[in-house]
Amino acid sequence: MGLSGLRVNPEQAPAFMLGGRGVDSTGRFTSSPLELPTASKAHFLQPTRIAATPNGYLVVGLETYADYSLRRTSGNLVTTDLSKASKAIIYESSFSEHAFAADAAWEGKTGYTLFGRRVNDSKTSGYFRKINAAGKPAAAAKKFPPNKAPNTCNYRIIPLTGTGWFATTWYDYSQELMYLQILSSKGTFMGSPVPISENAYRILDDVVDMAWDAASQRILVAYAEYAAAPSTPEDIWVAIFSLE
Amino acid sequence: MKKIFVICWCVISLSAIASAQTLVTRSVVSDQKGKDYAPNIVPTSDGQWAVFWARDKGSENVMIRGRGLQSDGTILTGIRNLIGATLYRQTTFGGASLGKGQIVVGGTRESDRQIVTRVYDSKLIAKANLVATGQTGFNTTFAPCASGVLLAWTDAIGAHIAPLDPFADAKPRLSRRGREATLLYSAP
Repeated sequence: MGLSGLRVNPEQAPAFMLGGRGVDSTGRFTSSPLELPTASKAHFLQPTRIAATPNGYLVVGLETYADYSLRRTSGNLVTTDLSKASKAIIYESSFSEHAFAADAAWEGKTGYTLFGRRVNDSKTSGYFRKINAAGKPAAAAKKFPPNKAPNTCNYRIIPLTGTGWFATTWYDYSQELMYLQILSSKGTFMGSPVPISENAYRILDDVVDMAWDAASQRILVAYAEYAAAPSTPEDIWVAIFSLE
Repeated sequence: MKKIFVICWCVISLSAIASAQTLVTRSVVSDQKGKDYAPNIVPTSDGQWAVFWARDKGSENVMIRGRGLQSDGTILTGIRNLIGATLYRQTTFGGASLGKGQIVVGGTRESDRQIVTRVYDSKLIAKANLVATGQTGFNTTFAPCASGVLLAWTDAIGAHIAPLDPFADAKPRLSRRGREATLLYSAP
């Protein structure tokens, strides 16, 4: 999903020339946008996030079989001029029936990717993994979330530009709450997880987005939740957190 | 003495870290009259943000709605209908900052599964016509870059990435010679 929100500061993003690959004189895409290769011709990639790194744009997503039966987390690094995409970078080697949308972010000299999959109805395996500027794994995957809650999903990460830190979120099925926690560049989670929403009504799947306001040192989190349990109209909320 | 200093320093540090993120405010931004989900939040200009989300229309269709707010939570605009086309909900939609107070919002159009985008200012007023990219696809993922916006998506043969000119529009444009109106772009 959407993924989106403030993943790249436009003023800090690598430059490329519009009018180069992918855009014709009318502003439409040409017929040959850059293809993102997967490890096998039998797979294709569902992008979930584009993160800027010093070496280009890292597109992370779920590499899936053509029938969507199995998925795993992978990505491609695209050069800043969009002239070339790397081969598939595999973050988790095993395919799963239920893999969650992957996320990635780069801040300062460090990058991380978050990903995970459902093991069974009461257990998930979530991970965070340090990456290098080429988007490749720079260390072994570590368990995520840091409190090792066994039933989580919808992992998100954004850079807190200028701090060297990252903001991460995850949804805890058992608590029916989304949590926020800060990750340092050294891979250390700081403080305790903070609930994002006030109510323990279920926050909808894959629906949290985050943004960072460097001037006010605030994290904005947009999310959707049921107004009351069960299934009354679903409302959009924004929670604002300060970084102290 | 040194040990006591180190212990005190550690306690103070841990205390500071423990309050690393503190809730400032929390408020509902949708009209609470329907099924709204999948919010996105992107910066429009200094200290101002656009939140936009899907309003369920049934039958796998959604409309995109949004509003502007400040980083202290102050609401800047009423709820606006964005894009102007019904989107296919079984896909992602999104957006990105263009800088200079503008954003682009886009997704897969329900009628023809074509990826469409539109530019808005910080008050969520449209600044360009709807752009149909000429590509059909899903998993639309946006990211800003120095010269515009990047769009990654999936179609029947795999995933792709391309830069998007979000100001291209469907208006008829005169050819340079001006002898006759030439429609340089028309949605398929």
